[in-house]
Order: sequence, then C-alpha cells, then structure tokens
Amino acid sequence: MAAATAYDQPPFSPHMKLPLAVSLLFHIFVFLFSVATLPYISPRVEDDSDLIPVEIIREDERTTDKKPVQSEVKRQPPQQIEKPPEKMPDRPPQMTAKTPPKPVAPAPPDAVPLPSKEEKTAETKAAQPPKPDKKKPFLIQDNQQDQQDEFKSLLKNLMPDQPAAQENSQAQDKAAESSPLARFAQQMSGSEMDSLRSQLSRCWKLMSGARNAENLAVDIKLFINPDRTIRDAQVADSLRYYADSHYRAAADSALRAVRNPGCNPLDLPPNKYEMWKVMTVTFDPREML
Amino acid sequence: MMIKKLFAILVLALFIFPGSASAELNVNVTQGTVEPLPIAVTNFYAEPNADREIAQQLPQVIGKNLERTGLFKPVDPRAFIQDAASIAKDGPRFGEWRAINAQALVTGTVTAAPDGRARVEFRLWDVFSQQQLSGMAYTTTKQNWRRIAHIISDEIYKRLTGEDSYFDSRIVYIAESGPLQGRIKRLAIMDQDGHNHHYLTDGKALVLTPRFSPNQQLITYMAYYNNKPRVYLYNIDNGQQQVLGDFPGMTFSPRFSPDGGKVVMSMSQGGNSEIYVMDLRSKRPVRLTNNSAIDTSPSFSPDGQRIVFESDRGGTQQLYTMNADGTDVKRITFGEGRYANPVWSPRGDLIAFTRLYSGKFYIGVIRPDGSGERLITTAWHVEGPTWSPNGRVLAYFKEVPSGREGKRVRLYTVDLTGFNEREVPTPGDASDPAWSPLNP
Repeated sequence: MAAATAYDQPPFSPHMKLPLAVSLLFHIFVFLFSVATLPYISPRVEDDSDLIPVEIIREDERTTDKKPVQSEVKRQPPQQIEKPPEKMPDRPPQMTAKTPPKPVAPAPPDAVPLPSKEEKTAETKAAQPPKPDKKKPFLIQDNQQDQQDEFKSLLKNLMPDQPAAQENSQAQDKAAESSPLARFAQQMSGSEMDSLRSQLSRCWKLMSGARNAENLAVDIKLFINPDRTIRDAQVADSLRYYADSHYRAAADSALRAVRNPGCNPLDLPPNKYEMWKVMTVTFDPREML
Repeated sequence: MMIKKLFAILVLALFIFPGSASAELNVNVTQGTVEPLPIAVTNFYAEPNADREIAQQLPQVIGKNLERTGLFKPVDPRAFIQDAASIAKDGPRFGEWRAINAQALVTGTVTAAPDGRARVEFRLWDVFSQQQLSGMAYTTTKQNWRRIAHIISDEIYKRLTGEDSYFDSRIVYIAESGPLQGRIKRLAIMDQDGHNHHYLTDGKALVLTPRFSPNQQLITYMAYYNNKPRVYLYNIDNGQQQVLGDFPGMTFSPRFSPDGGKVVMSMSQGGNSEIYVMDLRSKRPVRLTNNSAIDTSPSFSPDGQRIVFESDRGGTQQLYTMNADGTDVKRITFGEGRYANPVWSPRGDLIAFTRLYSGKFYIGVIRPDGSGERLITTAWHVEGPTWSPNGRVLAYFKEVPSGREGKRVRLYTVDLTGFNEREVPTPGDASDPAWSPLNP
C-alpha cells in the first residue's frame, strides 16, 4: 500500500520540498568539504616538489642577429679568433702514474678495517699495504710501457703537422690520383691539397674518448663562394644525422670545423674556382680517438 | 644499329663534357685537434620577481660540471661582451661570441611561476651556425635549483657529445674521521660534485662497501652491529635499515643486480668464502660458487647474464666471469700481481678493477673477454672503482701518506682516457665510493 501511495503522489509534492532542500544543501556541503580537504582535488605545491615539468623550447624569432657567416668573418680577422695552430690539447699535464708519491714504507694503508681473520682473507686482500716484490719480473713495466705508448701515440696524433699525417695525406693523394676523379684532383697540386687539409685539421676540434669513433666518419658537402668563404655546408647522410646521436655530435663537430672563422676563407687556389666550388670533405676520426 | 649509335654518342659525350656536375673534389681529413670545446655559459636573465641568486648560480654550476669532464672549456665570463638582459631581449649577437672564441653558447632565463616556483629556461646555441641546438624549460621549487643545473648540464653534454651524461646523480661513500686506531666510519651521500652532502649513519657501527640500487631508493652495505658483520639494506627515503638474510657466517661485498631485484654477495664460513645471490622478495639465497678457494667481490653485467668476481682458485688472486647461475666460469686476467674489486661498466663494454703489483696499486679496465687491459691511474694506494652512469668516468679513492696523521684519503674521478683526474670535494677523509644511476 505504501508503494501505491507513493506512486500516486506528484513528483514534487509539497511534502517533498523540505527533504529535497535538505538533501541539496547536504550534497553541496559534502562537495565543498571534499574540495577543501581532499588532496587530489586541490593539489598542493609542496606535494609535487619532486616532479619537474619539462617543456621543449624552440628557437624563436627573438634571435635577430642572423647574418651570413662570411660577412662576420670579414669583421673578425681569422688570426684574432683562431687559436695558434701549434697549441697542444688542454689536458692535465701528467697522469698520476708518472709522478707517484714516494711511499712511506712504515705506514701501511688502512683503508678497510680488518675486524676478523676471515674478512682479512676474503674481502680486504687488495687493501693490504703494498710490499715491493723484487723477485717478480718486470712484466707490469712492459704493460706500463704499452700503456704509455698508447698514450704517446694519442699525443702524437694530436700534432697537426706530424710526419704520420704527411704520409697519410700523400697516400690519400695517391688514392685520389687512381680514382675516376683523378683528373680533377690532379689539377689541385699536392701542396695545395696539403694546405687545405692542414687548415681544416686546425679547425676540427675533437672531444677525446668518443664512442664508436671507428664508425663516425662524416661527409660534409661544401658549396663555396668565389671569395673562398663557405656559402653552405650540408651533412651528406642527413638520415643518420637525425637517427644517431653519436653521429649527430660528430657531424656537428665537422660542421663547426668548416664554419670556423679560421677556415673562412679556405686555403684554396683562387684561380681554380671551378675545381673547388663544390667539394665533399670527409672528417674521419678513427685514427684520432 | 640504333643502340650502337646511342652508345657511341654517350661515350663521345663523356669525353666532351668531362666536368659534369657529379664530379667534384673530395678531401679526406683524418687529423684534428683533440681539445676541449670552448663554451660560454652566460648568467641567466632573471625576470622581475624572479630569484636573481638562482639566475647567477645556475650557470656557475653548469660551467663547473662541464669543465670537470675535460671535454669542455668554459670561456671566462669576464670576456663576455653581451650581457644576460640583452640576450633575453634581442637574442645572442653571435659575432660577439665568435670574437671571444666561444663555439657553443648557453643562455637562460629564470621566471617566477604563479605558484611561487621557479621556471628555468635554457638554450644551447651553435655559435658558428647561429642555430639553437637545444632548448628546455623546467619548473621546480627554488630549493631544487641545483638539481636543475645538473639536468641542464646533462642536456648540454648529451647534445654535444651524443652520449648519455652523469651530472644528475649521487655518490654514496664511507666518511672517515678520528685517529687511525679507532677510526669512525659513517655512510654519507652527496651529489656527484660534492654538494648536498649529508650523513646517513651516526658512526656508532662500522660500515663498509656501500652500493646503490638501480632503483635509487636502497643502498646495500656491510655493517658491524653488535660486532656481527652482516649485509644490510638502507632505505634512503625513510632511513630504515634491515639485515639481509640470516646466514651462519659473515656476509660481505654485496652488490645489486641490474634490475634491483637481487643482491649478490659473499659469505665466509670456516675460512672459505663463496658467492651467493639472494632474491629480495623471497629472501632465498642461492649458492653460485663451490670451491675451496676464496671467491668474492661479485658484480653483475648490465644485462644480468654474467657475473665477474675475484678468486684465488688458480693460485693467485685473479678475475673470473661466470653465468648468473654459476656455470661457465672463465678466467679473464692472467697478469702478475693481484686483481680485486671488479666492477662491470653500465655500458657493458669494460670491467674496472684494482690491481696490486710490485708494491703499487693501479685502477685499470679490461674487456669482458679478457682483452685490452689498460691501467689508467696509480698511486700509493688507489682502490674501489665505481662507474659513472654513462660508463665514461670512474670514481675511486686514493690514499697518500700525509703529515703526522699518516694518510690522506680522498675520492677522485678519472675519465677513460686516464688523463682527466679530479678530486671530488668531501668534508674529510673518504673511501669506498659508489656512484648512483641517474636520478629518476
């Protein structure tokens, strides 16, 4: 009967108005209370202090000083900007191995405490004080020598005008002569090619210890103005440039070399413009790193 | 007949027009100059209401980070011609930056976000090409500015070298103090550049060989509580410590697996130590070696497939590798002297180690197959190498005799070339460093 009575009543009878108002007020109160108190509705700044939103910033139009490289070069003589070509790499002058501190014999190192004999035999063997062993052969010195030779060879490579580089360039010239393009290269004399290579070598700054250096040769196509400044430089393998971060860094290094004020204008014979107005320079670090 | 004519015309054309567009000069440059890249890191421009101190300190931290790598040479700010406000308003005047021999340029702006946080924007420019190489903005609390400096340093390093970086990372180590007899050793943690330093333990118990978990929240180490040497886990978030497993013998030399789910360690019982691996969920230890010799200092390869460890099973203390289940044991070193503390590089290509030979300690690296051993630094006592997250730099501790106290122990880093060795600043004596992965 009660259900039948309910159906008989109109949807908003006068008897329902008060409960409806109370219900509405109650719901509004619950909603406001939730907004004011629940943390996930109103996030607090300190709660997400560990989260660092990141935005990518693109180059905008505020950069107003975009002028052709060559116009700037004219205002900046290369001698003033370029470093002296004979400067050696800026490295710490010595490795610790070369100037070891003199051991103070009676004071053994105590890097790892030895609380028990067990640990002494196991964990901290290498922490024992060094004891010179005269009986042992000098194999380690051979290894050291090998290492030093490796380092020396690296240092040797740092010299831009070393004999090895000369031999290498001569070998490249021979290779060029035997190529189908030899007729063009032949019109640039060997000394002219050496001069260009030497100039580009001075402009090409490499970072030591690059990974996969044997596979980071970069071809840069140069479009050159008659005044021997570079009009445009393009990475030949643009696909790899965007896909391989190591290659991109190597390519950027090569692009910096050809855009370096020290290489603008390039050391080219002015009367052979047809020979060099477009050229490809391969920057190959495998012998360096 | 027609084909023969066409062929003849083609051959003739090749002789008449030898200078076709496809023929051009090729130059092969194989020699360059290995030297740090000159980079100018300007003061960041502080917008009105923004924190000026942060704007000045950010570039200092970035510059120091880059300089420490040995790959970059920050240009002296006193040589700068253009100031931060001018850059923010008009953009870089590249001719002026070329004039002071900068090849890369870092600029930035700090603004105050509506919620009170700082928004730090940076741009990396190639000075010669006048192109923006990278640009990012980060919003964070003011107290977090130093971390933003490390993150920006990482972005610059990655863009210019092509390799992952390591500036936004930490180092946990053993801080030593007090007299040689009764030395106090505490667990301490700091940013990789030595800042944000604080102690994790109070020094009442001796702690040794801390190692970071790949997930950053845990450190495993060996400690002597109640004179019982055990491997412990330390939760960085809440400071809680717990002993790892209940072994009958002494446990030591722990190290996490690459996924952080296991700890490999040594247990010594009756004078013999063996290598065990324990799953952190099941806490069930599995014995990996079974040999009368001393097997210790295990370290997982980054793919979790192999473990390198030291053993004297061959008569002298040498390095060996084995599968993660203990099978397929191979000896990889055969040199004179003793090898210890092997650590597999996160890149997987090298294993770092300590070598003691002829009265001297060396830090060296070797390929996992045993080839290409190189000793990259030495001193009266160097030990405990640990890799930077990108596998390009090693941290270790160096001890040298010093004055009345007898010795000075400090942390150092050296890159893989062996030339760029730097001291990591610590408040006092420091040993046993462990480099964390990049912060999450």
